[in-house]
Amino acid sequence: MSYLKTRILVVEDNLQDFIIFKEVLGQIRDFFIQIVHAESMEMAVEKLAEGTFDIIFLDLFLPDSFGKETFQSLRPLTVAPIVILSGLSDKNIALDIVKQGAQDYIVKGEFDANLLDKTIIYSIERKKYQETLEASERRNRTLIQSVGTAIGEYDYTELHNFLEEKRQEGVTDILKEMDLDMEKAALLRGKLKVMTLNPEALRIYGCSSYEDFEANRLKFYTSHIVDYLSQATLALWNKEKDFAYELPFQNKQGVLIHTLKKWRFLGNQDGFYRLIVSTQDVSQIKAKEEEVYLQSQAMESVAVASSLLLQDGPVEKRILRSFGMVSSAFRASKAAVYLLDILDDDFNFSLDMYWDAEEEPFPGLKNGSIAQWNLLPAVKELQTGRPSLFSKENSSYEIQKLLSFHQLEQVIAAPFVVKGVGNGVVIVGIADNLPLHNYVYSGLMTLAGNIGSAIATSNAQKELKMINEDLELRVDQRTQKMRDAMRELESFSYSVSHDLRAPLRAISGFTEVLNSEYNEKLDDEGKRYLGIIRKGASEMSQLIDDLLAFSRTGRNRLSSEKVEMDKLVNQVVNDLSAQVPDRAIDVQIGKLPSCYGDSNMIRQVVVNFIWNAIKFTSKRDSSIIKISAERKGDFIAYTVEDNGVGFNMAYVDKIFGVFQRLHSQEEFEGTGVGLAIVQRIVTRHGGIVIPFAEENKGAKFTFTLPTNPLLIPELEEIIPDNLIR
Amino acid sequence: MGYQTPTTKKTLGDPDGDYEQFLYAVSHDLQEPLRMVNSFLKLLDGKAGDKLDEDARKYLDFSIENASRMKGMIYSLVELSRINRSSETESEIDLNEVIQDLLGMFQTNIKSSNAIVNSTELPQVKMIASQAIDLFKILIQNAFDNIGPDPLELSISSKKKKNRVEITLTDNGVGIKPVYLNKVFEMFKRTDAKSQKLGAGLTIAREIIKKCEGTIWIESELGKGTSVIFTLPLV
Repeated sequence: MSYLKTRILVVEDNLQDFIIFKEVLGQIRDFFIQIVHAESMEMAVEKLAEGTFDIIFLDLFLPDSFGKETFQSLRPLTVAPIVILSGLSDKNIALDIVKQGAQDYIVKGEFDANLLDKTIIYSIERKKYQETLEASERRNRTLIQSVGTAIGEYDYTELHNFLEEKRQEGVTDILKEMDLDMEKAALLRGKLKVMTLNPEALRIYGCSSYEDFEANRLKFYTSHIVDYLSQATLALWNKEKDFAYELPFQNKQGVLIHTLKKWRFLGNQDGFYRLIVSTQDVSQIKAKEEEVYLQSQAMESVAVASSLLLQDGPVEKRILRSFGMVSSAFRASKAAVYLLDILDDDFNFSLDMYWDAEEEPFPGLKNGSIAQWNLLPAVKELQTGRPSLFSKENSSYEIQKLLSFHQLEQVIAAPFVVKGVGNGVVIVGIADNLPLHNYVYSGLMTLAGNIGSAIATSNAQKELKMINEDLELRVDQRTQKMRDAMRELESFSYSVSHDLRAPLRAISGFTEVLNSEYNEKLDDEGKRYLGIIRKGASEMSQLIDDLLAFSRTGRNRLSSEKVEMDKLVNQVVNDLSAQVPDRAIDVQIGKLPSCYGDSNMIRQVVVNFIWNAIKFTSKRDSSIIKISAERKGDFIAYTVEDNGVGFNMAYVDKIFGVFQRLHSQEEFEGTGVGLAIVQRIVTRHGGIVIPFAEENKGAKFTFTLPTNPLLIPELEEIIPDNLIR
Repeated sequence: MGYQTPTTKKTLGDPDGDYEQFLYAVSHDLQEPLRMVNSFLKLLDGKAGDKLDEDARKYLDFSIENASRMKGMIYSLVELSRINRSSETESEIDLNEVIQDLLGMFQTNIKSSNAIVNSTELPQVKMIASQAIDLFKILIQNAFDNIGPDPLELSISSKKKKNRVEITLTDNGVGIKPVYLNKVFEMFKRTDAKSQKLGAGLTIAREIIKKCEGTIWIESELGKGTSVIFTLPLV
């Protein structure tokens, strides 16, 4: 068997890993290889579309895809065997993926030419006997549903002559001259003779034949036709060749269709004036746009509702207000929250709330509302932790009856956990039977989770004392344990970072000497190797420095003074803009009230958010950064908003993780520690950070800081401590 | 006082989550540049090693040595982070078998140093099999690493206490200075700065025992020997 011209696709975002891989591969003399490199999922997909490969080496962590997902999305696109390129710490994931159909995995930095050679040959062999089967499966999968384009051919000689006559008469404003209304538009339409219509065009109009179309033509016109034909005439009058218009119309069956009409005037051809009109059905695109808009609205309202939940005041009121905030996004007309007693398997409801769009803003706590809102059977079905839908179609007779009673068509129920207390469920009732998009479910899950946290941290705990006499004691112990663990973690991370620095210093130091004193003894390749080594070492020391900074954030004692935010922000903006003199950044600063806290740490927060905004707008022609503030109870909510690359909200829980980066190092520099530090600082001041972003549109971070030093949780501990000293 | 067994749900500001995250960050994010440094140091060594003079060679060797030391440290951190992420389930472990297997592994060390290892009958405990092996391997290795002037005598004994067992490993090694007693469980802390050891073993041992909700401590007298005492859950 010959393996001549083995084509290998290497999907690896790290250029240096790729170079090593290529070096090692170069040592396999036995066969001639062609290596294609892809740095991202997107590129890999492109390369796979361009040609076939005999084998694929796949790194699981790419800038645009993580973990198992990477494999799962690449798998359907190729029949070639996939070998996972794994890091030491992903070994478990790699093993898992081998179970899911990857041929093998190799650990980066731990393979040699021999192993690689064997891996390639065995993987290709193993894969071969499945190939026929998989190829046919793949053909089925990639059947592409094409968006059809309808084409019509018209003779506009009459219209052309009519306009030329008017021009001869000296008419200057053709629209005023014609003064179209529905009736005149229909006549004008008559001046366009249909030559041919393709089947797709007939399909869009809902007609079976050309005759059918002619007979029903007048039915298709809506009031849009006047503007449509006016603009088309004007285009012809102005001697333009092309004309495009988004026209909604009703087809023969009365269905509203959004179309994109494109006219092309071809002039006099074969004895008549020829016009080609293409009609594209954009209803689906319109619907998608609508959905995306609704989704962003919904996510924003969930973010606002969540911040409401975290404010002060009675928890019942906060929850009801949060419902008011999301009701339109979820199309909710009723909502309720039930808390389930953890000690009682029989779902004993100990706290319930009721919200109704019909009633005055905050109807407050309704005792006994469970009787009214008796969705007990629905709640009992909640075992899975995900929201469930109960509609008239899919539910038992009992629930159908309840839905009718409450004038609802469907109900979503989302469970939540109240830390250390038990479980609860949020029920949202919807009066229409339109389909619910995914964002309703995910938004509701987020909201339910936040309601759980709000209850957990609220005075409601006192009410719940009856459920569990020693709850408070447990909470205290838990808090104490948390504090201890936090302290231990901080000293652990501090000392580990510190210890890792020793060997790193040695590497940096020695290679520095090699570089400065022995540089001329190395050939170009040697110099390049040394360069990569030194870059790696400095990357590591940056990571470790950031890690030390992160652990220090938790270690330093907080001070508390008045922070004049407007001064601070202006100063930071000036400092940071000076660092990017060749960029034009439009910074809009609103009125920023003062707050209390540790001015050095708060400065760090401000620097971080503004620098991020500057960094992530660097690919924009014009960067816009807006900084504003709003008073929220005893806190000030400051917001930094940019028009940068944003990020996908699906990864929002990752952004605060130490070293988590949503963008690659090459795209935007940074180690990813920044937001973890910011989060830690704001939390220590008793505030919260609310992230919101849209991919490729921008990011918005709101953080709250107290207006009164007594609101800083730690100061309670610190004050008595100081007195003792 | 210590980290709680991590729950499956990680929330922000949750120390367990941060702890795991820290370990992950160190082990994953540092690993990449380190792998680079390591691989290219080796390539440089192969390519230019013989063109360099003695001093430069020494610098390159030091760099390689330190890079592999760092690799070892990071590997230990990965090991540490695996303890709580392990997907294996606990089973009934016969500690006598574990000790027998390990003594087989240490046979060369035992013979070459004339060591004596005595183990009394040990009970069955409930823990993850691979972690039981790791735990005893670390502790036995520690005894061999700290042999005093006399050949090693290591005894392993146990005492039942309610539903737990207290296990003691006592050696006649160099012992630990009292000031270090609190430090030995800390990651990368070595009692002897010149030692080639990473100082991760006891941290990993403690983490394994914590996962079993047990405790571990050390009693030692300088120049006389050391006892490591820990509790494990009985079957």
